[in-house]
Amino acid sequence: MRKQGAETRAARYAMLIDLDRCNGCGACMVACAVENNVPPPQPAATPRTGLNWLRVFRLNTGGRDAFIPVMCMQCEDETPCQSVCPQKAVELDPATGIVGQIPERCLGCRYCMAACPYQARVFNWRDPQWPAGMERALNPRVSVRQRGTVEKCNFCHGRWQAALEKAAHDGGSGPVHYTPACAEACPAQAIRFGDLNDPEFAAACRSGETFRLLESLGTGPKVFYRTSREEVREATRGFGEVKRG
Amino acid sequence: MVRTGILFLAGFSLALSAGWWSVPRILYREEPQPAQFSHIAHTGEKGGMSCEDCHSFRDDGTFAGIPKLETCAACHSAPMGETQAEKDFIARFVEPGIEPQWKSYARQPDNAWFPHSAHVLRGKVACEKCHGGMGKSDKLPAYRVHRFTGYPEDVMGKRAGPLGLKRAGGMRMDDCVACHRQNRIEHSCLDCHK
Amino acid sequence: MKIERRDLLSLAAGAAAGVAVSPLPWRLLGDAAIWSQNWHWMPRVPRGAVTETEGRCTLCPAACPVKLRMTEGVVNSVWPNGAALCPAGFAAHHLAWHPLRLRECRRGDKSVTPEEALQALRAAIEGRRGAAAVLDLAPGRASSLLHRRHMASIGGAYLTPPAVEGSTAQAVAALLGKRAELAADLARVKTVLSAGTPVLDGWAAPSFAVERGFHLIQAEPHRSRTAGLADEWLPLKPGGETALLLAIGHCWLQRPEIEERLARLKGAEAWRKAAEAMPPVRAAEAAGIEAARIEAAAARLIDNRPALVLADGDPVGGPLSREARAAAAALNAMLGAEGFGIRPALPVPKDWTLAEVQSVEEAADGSIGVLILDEPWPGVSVPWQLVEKKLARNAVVAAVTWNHAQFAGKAEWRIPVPVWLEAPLDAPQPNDAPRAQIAIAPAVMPAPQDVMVAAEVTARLAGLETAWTEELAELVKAAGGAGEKLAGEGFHWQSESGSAAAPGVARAAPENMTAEAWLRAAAPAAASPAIVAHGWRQAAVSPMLGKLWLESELREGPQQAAAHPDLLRRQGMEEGVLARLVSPRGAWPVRVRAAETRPDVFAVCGGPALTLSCEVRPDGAWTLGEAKVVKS
Repeated sequence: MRKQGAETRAARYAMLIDLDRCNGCGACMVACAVENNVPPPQPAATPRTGLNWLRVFRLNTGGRDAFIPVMCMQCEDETPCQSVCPQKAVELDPATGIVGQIPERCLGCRYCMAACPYQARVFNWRDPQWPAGMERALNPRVSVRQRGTVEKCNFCHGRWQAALEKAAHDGGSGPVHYTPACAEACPAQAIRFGDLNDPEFAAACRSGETFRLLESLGTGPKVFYRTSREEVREATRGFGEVKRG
Repeated sequence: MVRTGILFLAGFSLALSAGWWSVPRILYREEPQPAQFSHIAHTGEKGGMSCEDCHSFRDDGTFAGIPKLETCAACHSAPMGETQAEKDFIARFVEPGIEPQWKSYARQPDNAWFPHSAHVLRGKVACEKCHGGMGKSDKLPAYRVHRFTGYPEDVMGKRAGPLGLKRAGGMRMDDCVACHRQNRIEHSCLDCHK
Repeated sequence: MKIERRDLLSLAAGAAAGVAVSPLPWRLLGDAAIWSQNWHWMPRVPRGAVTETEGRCTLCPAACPVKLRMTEGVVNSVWPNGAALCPAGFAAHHLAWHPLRLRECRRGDKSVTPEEALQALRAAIEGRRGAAAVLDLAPGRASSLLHRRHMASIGGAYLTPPAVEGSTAQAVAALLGKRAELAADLARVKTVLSAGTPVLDGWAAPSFAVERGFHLIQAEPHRSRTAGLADEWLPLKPGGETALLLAIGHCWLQRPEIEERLARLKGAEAWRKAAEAMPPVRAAEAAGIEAARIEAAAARLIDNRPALVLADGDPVGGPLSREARAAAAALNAMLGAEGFGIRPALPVPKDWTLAEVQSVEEAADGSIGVLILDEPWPGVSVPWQLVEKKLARNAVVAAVTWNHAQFAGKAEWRIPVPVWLEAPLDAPQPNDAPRAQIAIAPAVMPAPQDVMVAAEVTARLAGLETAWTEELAELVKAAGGAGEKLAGEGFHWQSESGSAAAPGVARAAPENMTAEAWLRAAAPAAASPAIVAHGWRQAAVSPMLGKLWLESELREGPQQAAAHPDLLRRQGMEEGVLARLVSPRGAWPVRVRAAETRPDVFAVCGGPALTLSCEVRPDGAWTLGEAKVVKS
């Protein structure tokens, strides 16, 4: 459903992550959880049952450590999760390029988790629990999900909505500019967020040093990675075999 | 046979009328507002205020909703009229500085995002279209909240609701979608959900 | 008229049909669906205006500037404000709700008021029970100056834990011709050799992990986060630091600039003798590193100046041995301590008298009658055995602490404190830059009842009438700031950098150091597999940080033990299995994971609780004793 009207022009939001800068600190993971009201881990949590919309992996390069943050790739071709969802709880919005995950519709079949080749989706095995009182520190812009639903990165839709609200108030037009939590958090400024309809950003995403994960699958991921180190690029080729947990 | 038929019809009409009478009447319970408030006294000839004077937008574009005590106290630090309701309000809230816990008739659940700025400022939707005659009312209407969902009646719908004949007439997703379709504003899930 | 069953059935059937055509069941179905999405135990997000204010994270010496996003008076997130911020900073606002937070003043099991605690402490101090002392677990803050002032006025002692971070700087400062406080100058150096100091993981400001201007050689048994990001990892045997450092010195002998300097330094003979007796081929055995690599590291340091040798140890594992620190200090002395600068003193109001700073190790055994423990935030610790030794019989101990799990368990009286953002708390001095700083966070959230900052406790014991915040404001004024807005806005001041001041090294070795002592320390008898304790101090800040080690494998976290796959195989353990760390000082469950680390080492990641249980060896290092990781 393409948006009409002069006020909005479609955006294709994407990310460009510079692996030469990422030092695996994990600040992006923590910032993402704080921004999106993801509950803290239970004591018995494991990497397989945990809730991480964004996960940083260590790459075995044989030399100096390299790291790669992986989140929902917001696939725009043959979006696998959207095509398998029986509930229409996943929707690629043509106006923003964001693949929206809607917990209200999700019935928890987890077919999308099996379909996602990037293992970017996580499941709420239990109702979220925060230490007493910490619910007062939740982000008002993002709702809390119940158990039995799948969730994933939505490119910080809460921040996008805040930017839209401000733009409507200030009287702007066109796609809004906003920064997701991980991009704002990164101490090395390794994560860059932009609109592929912006020629400069699109050129940066298609430079000779950039690549995407599992390109051969043809999912059209919109998270690009950049590195000048060949051994880092080599190390990411094994991504399909990464086990969670 | 006839008796069976009569009894069947009796049961049928009893249940039918009970069903139509009770829904949605018994589904809601009433809760009092912390104080009485007359909109018309403020917006009518004497008051001369408009909606935006108290229900305003913040700088970041969010809607401030029901005004905080400081908005009321700015004018009502001392009684401006004759009514007992105003005197009570000043005594119970303005003087001790206690924030009145108003119950919001249009409170959407946490997962719904309704940006007033997009609708009022960009879409030029009048306040009355969704909030009806609230601005001209003399007293606050009864606050009725659904007994087991906790949503207010204005959101859940005053009418009986789904039997395919009419929508519940509240502020549910169907109501928003209907208006969007009518105005040919396309939408996707994340446009309205948090 | 007899009412038959058929009549009832007809009535019921009619009613069912009637209800089915009324909205009742359909509406109830729909409403029940909504009800099932609104369980009462699901949290509701806060409502109201979202505002932003500025502040500083004061949970570590880096004192990073931050933006605080708040909804209706509660901070809901922390964001960097022009500088890097570490992962702990993003969850620092959770401290107020930390599950371990101490909220009530207690004596033993009973709930008491802070007034009662203060009265008891006052009575104990007056009742000739021996010296009063405050043990400041986060020394170097502006609040520490307040402690020193209060202790001076009652003749009490101001104690600090034995230095871990900054212990090399202290060892080098002991070699100077004059008294001065030194700090490493990471912004200026070109080469750093770190013997186990987690330079890129919580020791220095987060910006150095992101971008650094120096070549880092990390020598430690475990391939820590710092070692993985360093330019080179030397897989050092546990306890092999002294051998390595002496061997590097050996490589430097005969170099003209070194000989020239040695000729001018006192104590050079002891060091020369030890270095001459430790060529790299001999050190290779004790250090577990090939001679060629030791020689390369030595050459790299001396040929790419300014250079710095760090032997600070690890915040959980504790400092290195005295001999290792002295060996590192000697190497720095050879280089004219060019990797250090003199830290200017904090400005102090002229009329203040301050008690001397004393390490708790230096206090006489059994001399403390009343001890006030200041544990202001997560991650600070000291082996309790060390503190216990210094307590008199029937000493009164009060823990003024943020959590009920650590020092609170060792104290009779427990007084809760306000945490970051609830009071104008301030950060210690930076480890990585020779400047003084006062970094005070604003108080933007209300503190619970009954909390008292430790400086306020000591102020009341000293009989001071002024509030501790007013004293802090006096300090701020002495630094040229306006003291009034402290609570609302915080305060930040830093001195000029002390890089320009040449430290003026006078000695190569401390007075009582002999070559024999060094050589003895260079040949430790390490058990195999050895247990190396380490940790990331900031891990304790929020349960949210578990995302980095429980819900992912990005970093190691508390209660994990990493070992080489070969070692795991030899021990019959599988990756991920639950094992036990057993020692004379206690036993803890640990989850085992495979890592590229020395094959004769279990690297146990712990938290402050592990430190608490350590004991202090005669050579100053902390140890769990004979420890083993065994299958559960």
